[in-house]
Amino acid sequence: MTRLKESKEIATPGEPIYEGQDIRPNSGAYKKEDKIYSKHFGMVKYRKNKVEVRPMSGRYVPQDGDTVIGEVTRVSYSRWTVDLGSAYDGNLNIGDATDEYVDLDEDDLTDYFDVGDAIMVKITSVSESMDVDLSMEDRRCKKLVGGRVVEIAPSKVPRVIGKKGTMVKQIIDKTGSNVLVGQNGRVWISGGHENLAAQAIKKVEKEAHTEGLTDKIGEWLEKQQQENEGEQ
Amino acid sequence: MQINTKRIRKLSEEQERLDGRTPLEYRNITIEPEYIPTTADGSAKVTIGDTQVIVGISTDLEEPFPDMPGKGTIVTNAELAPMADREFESGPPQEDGVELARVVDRGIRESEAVDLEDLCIEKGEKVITLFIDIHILNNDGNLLDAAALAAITALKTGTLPHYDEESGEFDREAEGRPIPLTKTPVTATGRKIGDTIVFDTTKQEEEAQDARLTVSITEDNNIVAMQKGGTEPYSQEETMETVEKVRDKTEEFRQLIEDAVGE
Amino acid sequence: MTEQEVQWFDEDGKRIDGRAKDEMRETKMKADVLEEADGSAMVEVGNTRVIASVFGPQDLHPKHLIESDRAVIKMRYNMAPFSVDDRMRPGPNRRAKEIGLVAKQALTPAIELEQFPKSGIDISMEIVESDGGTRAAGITAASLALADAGIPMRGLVSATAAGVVDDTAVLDVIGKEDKEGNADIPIATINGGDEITLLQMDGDLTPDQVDECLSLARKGCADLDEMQREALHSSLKNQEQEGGEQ
Repeated sequence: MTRLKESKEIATPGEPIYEGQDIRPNSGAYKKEDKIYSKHFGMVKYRKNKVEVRPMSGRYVPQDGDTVIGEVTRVSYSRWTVDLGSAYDGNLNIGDATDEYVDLDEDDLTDYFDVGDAIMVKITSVSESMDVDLSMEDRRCKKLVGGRVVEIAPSKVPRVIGKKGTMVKQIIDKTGSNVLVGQNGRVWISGGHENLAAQAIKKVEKEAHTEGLTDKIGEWLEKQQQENEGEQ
Repeated sequence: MQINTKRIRKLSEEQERLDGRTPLEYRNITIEPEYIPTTADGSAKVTIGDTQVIVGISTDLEEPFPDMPGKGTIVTNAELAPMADREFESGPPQEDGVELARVVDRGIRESEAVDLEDLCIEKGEKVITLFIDIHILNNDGNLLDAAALAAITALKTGTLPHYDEESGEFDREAEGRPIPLTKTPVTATGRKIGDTIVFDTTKQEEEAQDARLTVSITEDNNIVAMQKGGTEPYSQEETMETVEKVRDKTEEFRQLIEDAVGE
Repeated sequence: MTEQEVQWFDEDGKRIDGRAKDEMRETKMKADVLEEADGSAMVEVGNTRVIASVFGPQDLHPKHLIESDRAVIKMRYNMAPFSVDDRMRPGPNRRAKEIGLVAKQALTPAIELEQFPKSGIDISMEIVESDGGTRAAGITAASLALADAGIPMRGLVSATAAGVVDDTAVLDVIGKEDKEGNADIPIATINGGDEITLLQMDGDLTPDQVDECLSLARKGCADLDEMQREALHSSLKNQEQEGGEQ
């Protein structure tokens, strides 16, 4: 019963992280004989009687309950197809998109969302064959107008949000921008110092695995503000 | 994403860009001559921001074209390697790859930068062919300028293998001689987003572009090649405005090449 | 030049490039070298240089290739025209197709394809400079790129080739040794262990010689496996440095 790798340590694929029979492998780890191995280049995390490995990077895989930012790629008779930056597109049915009554023969679905629109949307179910259903029900869901979307690795999203939202709140406060983070790694930034907010988010992504990042980013943002003011 | 394309177009109305650069500002440029030292006769790797391009030069002995019996030949080819962009597919060169090669080629050919007569071994029988192969590693926009910069650097630092009279072939073990370069044509591309002319576009910015104009200029400030791309028209004023701006840019580029090659 | 005229080993047993018979060329590896790709890596073995990229899991085209319960791997092996002394004409050729296939077979046993049904994973190996051992370096780089892309695998795959020159088994065959030597045996293993996922041979050897080559190559793969893990860890430090420069 030995932890060959501790929580927050980095493991590589095929590397043994635990020896013993009392713990089970969770996502990103597998068991072979009496050892548990990592499936990823990622961070080890023990939770109760399980151990998992979170990959440092990787494309988004849709998960039930995630709030994500998607782009409408197709408008059909009664639904929209939404690209999520994943191998799997999402499906938004008219009934899940609005409470209003829509006459499918009379009304134009593009009045609501058209091809190219960016939307914040919630994943309500993911089937085994990876059919993804979406809904606009959650109060955070809306069409995103104006602003820009930057893309980061989905695995870094928790870091960009921070414990109890402290990291993203700091960025919002110090740049005056509105920031919405999608679980699929897409981040919408609107207003304020958009470019600075975008740079801060990219910086968090790059240094996600380091300690004291919230303070570092805070200091960096202050410095950038001073430099900008100096130029004016 | 289209939300970004819309933002870029909106910002261009104020002469602003997504990453805060000014319309004429280039991202960080690095030039590494002789990137492929053992198998290429000349080579260079250029990065502009995250765009990465390698150009390699190879040589071969061939028959000259019948209408140019005393001149060697240049063949330029571009590979939009699938690794460079999710949208690049494997297979025969697509339009974009062919145009890229031809635009880079034109700057070199029309300026007569390479002394083709110096590539002639035996008039009417045997000449040297210079192959300029452009290999895109990572596409974050402005492939044209990066490829052109890599090509001219590769030519500047490249060598022709020694020709052995006896065997009638190259002797690659013996010492070669520098590629006979008489001029340094430099290429830059200006792109129209709305009414603003912008240089060194990122991939996202190129999705918002309406048209582009690539200009190649030699050190005596003469324009040797131009290529307009995209569907929107250019006015004469916009054309001359681009030419002026390219002229300034090429000064900077020449300095960068000198710094990289001088070492 | 016939084999008899080349002195493959000098008085100290050193090969034409100064190496001992069980010595690999100087090897460098770097992960995360391309921005657009989901994962990437560069591997240099002596004068052989390879860049590998991974895109996926993503949409798969053409649609008839889709498998309902797993991801499908598309593998590309390509030599840049300037990667060899006599320019290689661009375009698909049969050798490249075959290498793509065996490389795919070398990597597939390690990958958890079932996690991504109905999708595709596109792997590409570009040889930018060649001095022998390109498929081995390509596989080693591709495995790193897969890890960089976050694709779940039960291990890393590393590859090298052993051969025989002048009746002596040698590790990591250089271009010249391959051309004029007795044999070339490229192999790949998972986690530097005993599962061989790539095995090819060109030559004319006794069973004992084959056995010796396999031992040499397996040891080489184990060394490469360690280097791959170091390269992955280093890629984090590189990111920190880049982030800190702003």
